[in-house]
Amino acid sequence: MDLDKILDEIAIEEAPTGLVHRWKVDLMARREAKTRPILWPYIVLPVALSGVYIYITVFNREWLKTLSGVSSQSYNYITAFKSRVLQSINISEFGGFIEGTRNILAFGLNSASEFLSSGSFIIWSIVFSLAIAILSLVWYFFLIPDGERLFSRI
Amino acid sequence: MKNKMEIDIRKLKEGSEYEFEKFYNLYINRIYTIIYRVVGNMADAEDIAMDVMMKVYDKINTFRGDAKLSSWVYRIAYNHGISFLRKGKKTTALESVSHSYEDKHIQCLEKREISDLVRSKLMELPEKYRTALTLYHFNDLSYEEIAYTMGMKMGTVKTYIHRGREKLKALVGELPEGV
Repeated sequence: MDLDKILDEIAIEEAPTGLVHRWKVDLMARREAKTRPILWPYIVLPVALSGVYIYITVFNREWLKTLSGVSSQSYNYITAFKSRVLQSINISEFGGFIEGTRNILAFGLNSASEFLSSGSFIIWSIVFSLAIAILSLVWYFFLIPDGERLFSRI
Repeated sequence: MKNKMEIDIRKLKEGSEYEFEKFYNLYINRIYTIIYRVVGNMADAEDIAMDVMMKVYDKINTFRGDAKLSSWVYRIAYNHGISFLRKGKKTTALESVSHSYEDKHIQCLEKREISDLVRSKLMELPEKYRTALTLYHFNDLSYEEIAYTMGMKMGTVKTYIHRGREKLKALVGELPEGV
């Protein structure tokens, strides 16, 4: 009897039938993992941003001065912008509507420039970033992702 | 006429589920066989075959078409088997089909029993010989493809096949005529 002929017949082994099921389960899990949205930036970015702010305000006063400089520059820019805008819509014949719009714009721009120039701008930025970071963490850990159970990530 | 089992690589790359199903059905036994012949253990071969299928699924987009898809897949399978052995997970004893042929005279064996005997003796050969012989007896693999799969020169592959066959003949003994 020819050895080659026997080898031809036995060359391919039958893989266990359970492998088909296992493959499909593994494949589904892999596909789900691939389609799951990337969540880490929602946590990392706000935390990193808050970290930078805290570092600047607590440990690096030089940078704080720079930021204040930027802040006052922003104030100057907005003030100049405000005057130009308000001048451009200073047309009396449109009556009350234009006047109302002008007042609203003036209020908005004044508030923005005051906020930017005040010290609370930096504080509020930190508070806002931390709030986003905390909300992101809450959202990531406690909301139901893709039908998974609550707390499933913990 | 196009072969129904022919794999459409473009669709495979696009992630077509139907194409992957076809791919799985066509290749799983072949992949499993190669790995089993390399590692010599069915349970490990199953795990590694799964890893290989997953790797193919993940990396199919990197397949450039320099070689045949089958050769590319076999090469991944072979490399996984070899790296498993190198990690020190070498199986202590090669599994073989349960038999007690040693006591029986070979001339008295049935055809199925002879196949089982050859299969078990094949597993006693050194890893490179048995893998080269296995790949050689896959219908669609040339020496060149075996060389690509095993990452060797064609001459080396021919030597392994020749020596493997000689060793196997010596292990099996004289086969009966007309079984």
